[in-house]
Amino acid sequence: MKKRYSLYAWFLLLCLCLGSCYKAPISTPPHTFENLITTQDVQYFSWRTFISNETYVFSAAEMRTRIKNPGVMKYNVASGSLIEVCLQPNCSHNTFLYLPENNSYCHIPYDSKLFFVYENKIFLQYTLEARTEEGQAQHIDTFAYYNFVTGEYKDLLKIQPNDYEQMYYTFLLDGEDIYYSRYVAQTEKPESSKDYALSLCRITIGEYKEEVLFDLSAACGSDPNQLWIPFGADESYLYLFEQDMGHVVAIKRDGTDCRYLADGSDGIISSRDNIYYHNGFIYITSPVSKLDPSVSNPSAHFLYRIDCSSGEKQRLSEDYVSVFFVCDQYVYYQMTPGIQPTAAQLEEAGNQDYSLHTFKQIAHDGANPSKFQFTAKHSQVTSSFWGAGEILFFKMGYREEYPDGSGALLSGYTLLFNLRDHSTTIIGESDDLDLGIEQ
Amino acid sequence: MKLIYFELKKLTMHRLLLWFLLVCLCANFILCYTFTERDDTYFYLQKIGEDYEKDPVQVTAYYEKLCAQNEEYFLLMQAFYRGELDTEPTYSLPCTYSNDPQVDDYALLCRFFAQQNVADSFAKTMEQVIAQAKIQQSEILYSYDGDSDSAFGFQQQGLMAQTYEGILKNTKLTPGMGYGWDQFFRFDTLNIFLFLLVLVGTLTVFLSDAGNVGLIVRTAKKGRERLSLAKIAAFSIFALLSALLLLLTAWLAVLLKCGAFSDASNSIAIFADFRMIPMSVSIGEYLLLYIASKLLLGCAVAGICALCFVLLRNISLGCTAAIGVAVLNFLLYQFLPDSARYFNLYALSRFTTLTATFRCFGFFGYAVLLWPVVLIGTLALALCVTLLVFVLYRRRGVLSTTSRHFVFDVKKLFSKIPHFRRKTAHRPHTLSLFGYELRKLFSSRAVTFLLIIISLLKIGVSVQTYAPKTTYQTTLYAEYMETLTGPNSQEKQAFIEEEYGKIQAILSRYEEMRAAFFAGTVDYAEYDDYLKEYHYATDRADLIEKLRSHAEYLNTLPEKGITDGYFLYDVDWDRLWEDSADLLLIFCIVFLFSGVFSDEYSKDGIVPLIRTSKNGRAPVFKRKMLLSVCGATALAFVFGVLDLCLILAHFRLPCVNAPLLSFEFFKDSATTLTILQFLTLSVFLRMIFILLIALLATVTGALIKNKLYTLVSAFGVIFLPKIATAFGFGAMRYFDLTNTLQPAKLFRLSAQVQLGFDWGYLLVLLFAISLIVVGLTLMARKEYCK
Repeated sequence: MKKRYSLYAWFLLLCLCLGSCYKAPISTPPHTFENLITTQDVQYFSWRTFISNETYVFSAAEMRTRIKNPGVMKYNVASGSLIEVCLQPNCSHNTFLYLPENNSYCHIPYDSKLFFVYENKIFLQYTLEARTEEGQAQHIDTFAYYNFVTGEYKDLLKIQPNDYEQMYYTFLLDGEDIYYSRYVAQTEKPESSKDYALSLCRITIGEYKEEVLFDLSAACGSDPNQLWIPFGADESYLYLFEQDMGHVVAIKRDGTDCRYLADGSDGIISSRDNIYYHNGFIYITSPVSKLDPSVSNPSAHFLYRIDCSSGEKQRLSEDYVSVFFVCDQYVYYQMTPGIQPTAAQLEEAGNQDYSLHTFKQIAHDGANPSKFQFTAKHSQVTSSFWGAGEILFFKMGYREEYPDGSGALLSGYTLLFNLRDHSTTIIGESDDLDLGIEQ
Repeated sequence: MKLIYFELKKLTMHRLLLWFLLVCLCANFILCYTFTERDDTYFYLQKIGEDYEKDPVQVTAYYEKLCAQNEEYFLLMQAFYRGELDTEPTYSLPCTYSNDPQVDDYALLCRFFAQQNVADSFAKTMEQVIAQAKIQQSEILYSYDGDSDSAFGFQQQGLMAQTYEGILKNTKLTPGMGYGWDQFFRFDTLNIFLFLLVLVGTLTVFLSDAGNVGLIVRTAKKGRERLSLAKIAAFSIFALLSALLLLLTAWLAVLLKCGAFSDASNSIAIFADFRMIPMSVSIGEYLLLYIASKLLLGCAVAGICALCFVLLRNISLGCTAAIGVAVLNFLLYQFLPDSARYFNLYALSRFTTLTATFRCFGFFGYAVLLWPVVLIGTLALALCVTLLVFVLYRRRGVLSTTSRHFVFDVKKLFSKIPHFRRKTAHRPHTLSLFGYELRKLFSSRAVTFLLIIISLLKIGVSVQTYAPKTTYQTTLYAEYMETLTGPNSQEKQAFIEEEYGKIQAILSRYEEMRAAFFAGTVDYAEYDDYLKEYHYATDRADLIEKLRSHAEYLNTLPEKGITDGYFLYDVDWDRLWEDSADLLLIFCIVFLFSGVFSDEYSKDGIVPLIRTSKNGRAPVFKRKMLLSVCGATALAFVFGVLDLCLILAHFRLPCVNAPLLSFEFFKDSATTLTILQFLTLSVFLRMIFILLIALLATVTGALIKNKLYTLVSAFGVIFLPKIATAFGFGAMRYFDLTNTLQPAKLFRLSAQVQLGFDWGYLLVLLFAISLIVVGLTLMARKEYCK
């Protein structure tokens, strides 16, 4: 009896002591300011050069600094600080895995493909390079997450590419579910590609177990070789893009009610890297030549959006567009330098000396256009740009011009354009480049 | 000692064991020799080092000459690729040190001179790491709001910066090349042999006493405790010896293959693999740590193997279990996330991986370096396991060598646990009435279970409720309070007005400055400076408004007779006043004490029998009431202490002697109490109300005589007014008994109601509840004692 009471007393005392030991440091949230750009409701196809959350913009090997072997970097939109995401001290950010097992590779290496940020976790894909005992090269594609506050990481999917299966998946975040498509073996010992079926899969954040939902090819009524990849979702439908033909479909999460929104055979989609989904609309660029035979320049694209409920396409730009970015507030696009429908627009966009960069901000229905420009000599916006807070982020390539008129993209740097005061900031190895920018 | 000697002698008599040991040592040597790689560069650099010591000028001049040759070759190659030369230039550099054309003097000298600056490059790396950690830490501080991730991340980066600052300060790297030691430390195959040897050795120690021999031995004078100790000593000594021999053979293998070891007094950070080691040790010191880890590992594994044998009382099954434990450790290491994988013996066996870089984990909000915890944990594990082996072997011994004679005393094991005991021992009546009432209350499994669940819930809820919740705004507020804390004064009022004016002036210039910048009348530098001020102003605009408003409030206090209202950091005080009622405490009290009487009337209750006994009426009634009072007091005390500890740890509660009216929370009252006086009074009031609630639940049970109905009635009386208030029946808040556990809110309500004076309503409530409790108690007494 006494022993039991004393046990209870000791137990309660232990609980008290353990509970009172809990201590967390004082910490502070960010200084708030007027956020002009948010991307909470924006979804997109494939990995991005930049991704962001409320506080940071993340980029892999695109924001270079003077640090050797820079890894994935994070830029604090409010304070402007730029530091590595990897929390391992003096990490080389490499992806070399030498057999037998070696845990020393970086879990957020310099060439990671970043997909999205959920809470404190960056979801990314990277490739491990290994050597077999015979000395042959081996690659292991890994989809994982990395917690940029604690350094915790977890590999969610690992695949050694073979003739039948490659990890060129894109991962779509919808609430707490991650959707992707992959070829799943239908037999225990698959011997050819016919033994695989393209299936829609899901991983729920927290559980991190793969669920195979349904056969996509059968649900979409398409050839088994057509590769459907999810890029957008609303409450009812998932939106899929077909990689080769450029079709866009909507399909319910149970694999029923597949509707074609865009038939790729008419060439409506020009680039899979520039597909956004936002609030019931899909935003794409489309080659003008497909619609107007008098325009033969393959670089001429208009900006369109497709209404997911009706399939109706609406042209948003009168200008030819090269790259664009959709956020919760606006759509931003670059006027393609060197080609435009009219002379006045051409002068606005700048010629092909890659010095003047003209961008327009429009509402989601194309209304209320406004323009801004900056000068960065011999430079080209090389991939989709991004925005967060008051800043637009551009990945720029510096063009070395040769006497014969050709040129090549050499050095890369990141240019930050502040929408409030139109100032520009350069990040990257640009000291010896003739950019003509005052910072 | 003789017993230990005989146990060891028994071990050596097993020739199979000795042969097995020899085979393992040889295999260890051969494998280590095979996997070790010799690097002759070390010896070439030694030669360069010797020459440099004799004549540094000559060596430097030779190096510069080779640099020039190399540069010349490079330019010739560029010209060749541009088509300016017909033939590809040949490149031949001297190799006087190596006599190997693959290893020329230029490459060796480059490496040698790079090593001369190794201390500088190490310091630079450390500074970069420290700077990076500090930036990460400040980023976490700037960006997040105290969630568990950022709390740990903040601690982790701080510990990293602190660790490497210590290393930077204390580490002295001598120029030179580290050689040999890294290969010795990286040889992990040794662990397999260690495990096998320890398993077999421990098995042999117990093998001699298994079966009938063991039964006879255990009847001898020293056949239990001392034998147990002797066996423990024997297998521990064998494990230590095996570890030492394996280490020695590995070291010899590396020495033979490599030809030499570099200077052991140099810092371990000379090796690239150990550049980020989170401790400032020399190679020799690390070697001692490494040996200690292997010895500890050996002892722990031996203890676990022995435990398997004595627990299962069967040699073969014990072996299987020991291998199973080893495999389990391996699998845990492979598949657990990084935060948990290092807490097992397999991780300790890979001591180099464990210590090669900074690793820490979160322990109740603190970041702690991993490797010392793993070492200490393993030591604790080894001691516990050894103790268990001693106790179990002393009691049971090992029965059999084969699984046919497997015996596992399940019934005996379970009969030790009280709840599974079928017969209780007959004991004389030694407890008082109160003691028996107490025992009745806590012997119920439901009560035990409830207490455990509520304790855990209480800890979770309290930790959550009283967690520090500071934000960027509260940090700025705290900065202002550093200047303003203390009694109100004209100077402080003036400071607030001045700060307010300054902020308003900055904010009002925004449009003007922006227009001027775009017009070109203000340059970028000036506009940038202004933007910094602008951000300062926007951060503080709301705060200064709040301070102004509070200053105005303090100026009204002299009308109430308070001349020195305080400015103070009131964020955590306000959290305390707004604290919600401890519903878990109420639930616990009502559930526990409503059964004091009503349980006696249940189907199995023996109240008719009790009431016929000598002390079965009035004395029992008194003791039951006393039980409710003491139990409620104890519960309130425990819950209160937990809350108090958390509040004191996490809350910032300055100026306890300030007038209570310094808080606008109490603006409706006219009290002259200080904070401390009010808190003291609150504790007493709270205690009284808790006792009243406990007594109410108890006497309700005595009157209703049914636990279920009592619970429903008690919860109804206590919680229905609260629910009604939530649904919009505002008048019911005056009858909400949960308010009684929130003295601050109760006092504020009382001040708002103003029944005569500030405390009017509160005293009326207290009197009313007391009257009800007294009335019901008298009724219950009359009912029970009739």
